[in-house]
Amino acid sequence: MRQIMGTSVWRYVTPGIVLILTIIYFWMAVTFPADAGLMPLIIGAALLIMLPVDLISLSDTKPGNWLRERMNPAAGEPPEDFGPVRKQVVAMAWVVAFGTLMFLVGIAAAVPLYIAGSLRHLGGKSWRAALITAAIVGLCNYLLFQFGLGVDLYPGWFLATH
Amino acid sequence: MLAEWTDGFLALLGYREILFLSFGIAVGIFVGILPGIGATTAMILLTPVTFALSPVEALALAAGIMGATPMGGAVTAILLNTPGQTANAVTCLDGYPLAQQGKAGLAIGAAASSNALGGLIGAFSILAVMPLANNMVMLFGPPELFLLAMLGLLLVATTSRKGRMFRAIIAGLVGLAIASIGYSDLTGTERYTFGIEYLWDGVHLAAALIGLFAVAEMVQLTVKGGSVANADAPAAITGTLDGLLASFRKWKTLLRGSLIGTFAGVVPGVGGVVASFLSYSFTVQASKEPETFGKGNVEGIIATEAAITAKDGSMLIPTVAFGIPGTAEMAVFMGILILHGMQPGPLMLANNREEIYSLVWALTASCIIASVVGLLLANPMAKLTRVDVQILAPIIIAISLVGSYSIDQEINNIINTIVFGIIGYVMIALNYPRLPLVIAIVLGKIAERNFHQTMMISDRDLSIFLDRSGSLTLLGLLLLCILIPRLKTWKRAAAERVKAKAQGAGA
Repeated sequence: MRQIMGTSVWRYVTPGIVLILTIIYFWMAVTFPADAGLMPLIIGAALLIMLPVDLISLSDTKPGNWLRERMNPAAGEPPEDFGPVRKQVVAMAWVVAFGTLMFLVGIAAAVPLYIAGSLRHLGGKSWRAALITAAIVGLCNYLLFQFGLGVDLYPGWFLATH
Repeated sequence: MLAEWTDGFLALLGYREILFLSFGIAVGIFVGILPGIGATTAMILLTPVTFALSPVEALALAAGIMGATPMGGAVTAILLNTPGQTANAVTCLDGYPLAQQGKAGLAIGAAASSNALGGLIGAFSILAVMPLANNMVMLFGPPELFLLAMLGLLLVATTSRKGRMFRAIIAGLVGLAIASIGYSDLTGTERYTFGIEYLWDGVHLAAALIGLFAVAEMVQLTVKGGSVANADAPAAITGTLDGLLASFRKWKTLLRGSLIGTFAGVVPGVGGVVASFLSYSFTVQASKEPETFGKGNVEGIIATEAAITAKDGSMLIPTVAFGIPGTAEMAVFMGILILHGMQPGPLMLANNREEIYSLVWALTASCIIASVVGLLLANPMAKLTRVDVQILAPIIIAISLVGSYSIDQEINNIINTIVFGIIGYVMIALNYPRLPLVIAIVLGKIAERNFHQTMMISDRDLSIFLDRSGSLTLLGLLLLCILIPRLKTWKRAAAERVKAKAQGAGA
């Protein structure tokens, strides 16, 4: 893995993205009327001071080590080991796909589809087990929310627009 | 007075009253377990049912729901790191680590007893605090609410785990930035909505919370594999009795939590998350072993759960005595009162005393019975921590996302939950604490609104914070919260120096 100042590039990515977002946040706050912009300006300014400190304290440099020791010991802790990044991205992508499916085909249909797919592909279960579990969970979900709690489950973009 | 107490109790003993109270408790525990569906939704759904009921039956039903919901929320917060209710987010901090260590029984036992005792204190505080409530409510204007929010924000930093204060402050600031999304209460200016109508009212807290905790945790478990409880944790669910007794052994924590909850409930606009977090923070501050919190300290659960249920009782005070509903749940409850011919306000105290006493008894009974049911559920539910996460995670994620949609039947809640799920996952992976983010989202809005109102009242004169007794007291408390951890550090350092010197002399 490529390193910058003694630390993996990946570790800089998230605080870096938050820093960029903060710059945009602060810049937009300047354009608000004084009363509406006061709080965002204070928050933005504080973050603009703290995020670079957090970024520097990640590095294996003299100022980085000094900051880590005195202000930000958590930056020295290794990130949680959840295994390969690809596996993590795939697991999160399944949730995003589920949300998209809910939007497109509706909640009642998306739940069993997601459960079956997730059990089969992420969990490595047999098709039989995946389909039975999906059918049971989908039915219970529909009965509980639609009938038990009187929630009008979203019918999906296709049904809503056609 | 005693006769009215007895009448209120006897009025609850009819078979229909007991039936509706039990039904309310069952519904309360059930909706408490489901993420996103809270007591408010349950009461809205059941309001039409109360048309046909007598006032006491309707109150028994509502009290059953209100008293039992926190216990349901605590069970899932402990076992799955999925808070059923927003206030239970703080329960996750120590409850979930205990479940991972195979001590789910201890955690649920502690939650049950602190729930019951906190509820008892909260319900009876209605009667004790009622005569003083007018002064308490009047004492809390915008300057005090602003300072209370600042106190909460300060505690976010000071109670974070050792070495994580800097990152807790960053997480808190990001939370405040998220809280500034939506219309400005003061000027009506649209901020950071990018033309998205859904964001006009800001980020939906409950939907965000489901993402931050439930989704993030389940994705993490999916990647790791195994089960919620560590493989080396004991297989048998034990320690429930120890947990039950822990609330009695740690009675100071229980009492502190109950009093903080009672106080938070009386002040309109201060929700359950603030109550539970303040109670947790003060317990950490007061502890001799603050470093054990967040790793499975049972006192963290006792403080949190006692505050939540005590708050549920005392928040009836502004609703019943002044007709000021402090939360959405109380607004619905007030609707039920009005529907049954009771007019919340000072007149209700004079005209409907028996109903008020019945309500207190029903709420007390509800908390106790819900805790017993929670204990009975502990063993079968704790088995969930042993289930293969590849089966458990997709089911929890599905229920969580549907629950998020069900909050107000808004499809955009799902996007909100997924976005916060990703944020939560990244925060876990990179060692950023999640609770400061949640607390800041809640307190950011309260702080900003009340600061601007204070400035309008005082004509932009900051000395208003020194002119009022309430704000002065809170300023003193703020100062103490800054000084006490410093003093403790100096004291510890001095003791270590003395010890080192003594060892040096001995050698």
